[in-house]
Amino acid sequence: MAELTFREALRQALREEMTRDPNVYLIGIAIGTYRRGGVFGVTEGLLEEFGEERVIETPISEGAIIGSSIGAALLGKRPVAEIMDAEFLVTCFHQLVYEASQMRFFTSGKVKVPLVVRTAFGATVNAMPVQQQSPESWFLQSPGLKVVMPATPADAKGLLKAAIRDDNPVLFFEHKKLYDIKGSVPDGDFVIPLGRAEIKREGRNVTVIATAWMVHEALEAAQRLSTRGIELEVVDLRSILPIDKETVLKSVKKTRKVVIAHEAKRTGGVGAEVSAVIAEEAFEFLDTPIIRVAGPDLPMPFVPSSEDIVRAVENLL
Amino acid sequence: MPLSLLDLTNIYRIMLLSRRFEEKIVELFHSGKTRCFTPHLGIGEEAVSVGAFYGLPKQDIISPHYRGSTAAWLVRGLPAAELMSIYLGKKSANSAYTMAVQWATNMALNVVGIASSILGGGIEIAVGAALGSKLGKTGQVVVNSFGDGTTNRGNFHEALNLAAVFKLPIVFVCQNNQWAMNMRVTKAVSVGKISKRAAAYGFPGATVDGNDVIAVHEAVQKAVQRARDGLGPTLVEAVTYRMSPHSERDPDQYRAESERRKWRRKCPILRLEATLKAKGMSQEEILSIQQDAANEIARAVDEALSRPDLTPEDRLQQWSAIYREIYV
Repeated sequence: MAELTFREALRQALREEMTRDPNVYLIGIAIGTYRRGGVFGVTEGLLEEFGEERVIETPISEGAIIGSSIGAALLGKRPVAEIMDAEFLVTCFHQLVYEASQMRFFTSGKVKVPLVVRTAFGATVNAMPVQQQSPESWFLQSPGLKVVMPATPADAKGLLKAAIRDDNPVLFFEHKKLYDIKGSVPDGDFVIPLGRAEIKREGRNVTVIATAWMVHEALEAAQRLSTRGIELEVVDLRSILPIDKETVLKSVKKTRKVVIAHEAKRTGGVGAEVSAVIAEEAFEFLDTPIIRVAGPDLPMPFVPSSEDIVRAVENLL
Repeated sequence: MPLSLLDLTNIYRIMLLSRRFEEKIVELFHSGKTRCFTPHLGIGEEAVSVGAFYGLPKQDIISPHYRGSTAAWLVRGLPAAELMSIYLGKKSANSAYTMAVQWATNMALNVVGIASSILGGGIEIAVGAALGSKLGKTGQVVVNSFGDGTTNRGNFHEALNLAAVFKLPIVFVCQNNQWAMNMRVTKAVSVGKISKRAAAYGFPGATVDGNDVIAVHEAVQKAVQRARDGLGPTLVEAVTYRMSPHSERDPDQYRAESERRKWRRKCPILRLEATLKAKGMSQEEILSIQQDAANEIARAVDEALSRPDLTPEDRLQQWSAIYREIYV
């Protein structure tokens, strides 16, 4: 166990996987010499360590970054692409949602695309409407893709290593406010299977299902409500494609009350999908309606906080 | 290496097979026997695909334009019956999504395609294959073809620029058939020759007669050698003419019959036939190759028609199984 920041944990995962498998390479904009490794410093030092053939800086061409990564993956490479900010995902949307995700289906299962796309997302400055997006739910309509959203340094490491070893395209969302948080990270080959949620805090009264930064807001809400004798169970989804129905439903059946919290806009956000799953598969267990705590349907970012989660829970009780 | 008489005979055979195949597709589509939304055929453009892809070592990667893909698959050795089975929605070893045959991926044949119909996506993926070749030091060269219309998309620019700055082993072949749906190339491209666009990336561009299979082949081979020598990409523009409508659902009312008639006289197959005759091939030999090609396609149709249908339920089951494998 080491105490690492989220950023350091990601870097450790990259370094370990690049060392383990010579087919793994990094590609993206400003990932090498800019601040010695990326706008957010995740890839710091890796260019010096692994050289230009393993840490490939590109022109500002997101479409070509992802498109070319797919082609290289067809030849047995395992690219880890960085799209600097999730706002820029639209410039390679086609390559992700049609090419990378559908290739395995279109070849009747014969061809796989082992590709990881890391991207920084989320609001850091309230009401500053550029480079603050949470567009993850756009990708829920892309079977073939996996979408991962870690909330802790340990999860960042374990999930990124799993993503790199996965034979399918994985979109890896890193919330910008998480890069500096610290946490215990297991040493060595620590891999967390994709698609499994984790209970980050057990509780008996209300289930709060959250992603990424909102997991921390939910934990703060839980702490505050605990002093009043209200115990929240905080479920960190960790992957939103696929959604870990088993863990979600188990918690819902236990507490019978649900709040879903994410930063992305309310309409069509992952909360809508999780609500539908609960309504379809555990309706009879619910004592109260499901409440979503989400960003408003406005240009980003007006994001909810622990206050909003507390209020939502109060409304349920 | 210059093409031998044997090569030219082979090329002639493949061009004929492609022509007979696609004529058959027209017939089958309009009688409701195919299972594809609408075929986009390359009748009259065979010299580009065959010229570009013929004679490459098997390990080299091709990434063909959808229009001309029939010839490309035949060059790579996919049996016509397999290809026909896909168009007819029959079960086959190679069946991918029926519509997607024209841009399918088959790594056993080193054919790289796309999984959508978005133009230019294939250029980026082909560039990635070239990057994979370079990183893996496999020595493979990639030959990627696309239409004139695609050169107006943003991903054409991103992909060619990336290939240039990384000096990747790739040859871009623009199959300029002068029409992008109903848009005449002169109204869509402001620089005259599309090959001039290579100058923007600092690599060579050349325009050749796309109905002259020998000229296409020689230009592409020269570019392949350059790529193999580590000197980076080349853009070869092969000017041909779209004798087919944009797709079989296109009534094709936006251009004059006289224009089509003029180009029909420049048919690349007739042209190669004249070359073969000039090299001493007899009329009997030519007729026999033609007959063999027609017979082979007729057999392919029979074989494909005799196969069981690949039903939507089959596809749903297959894809659901893939889904479960992905998300276990």
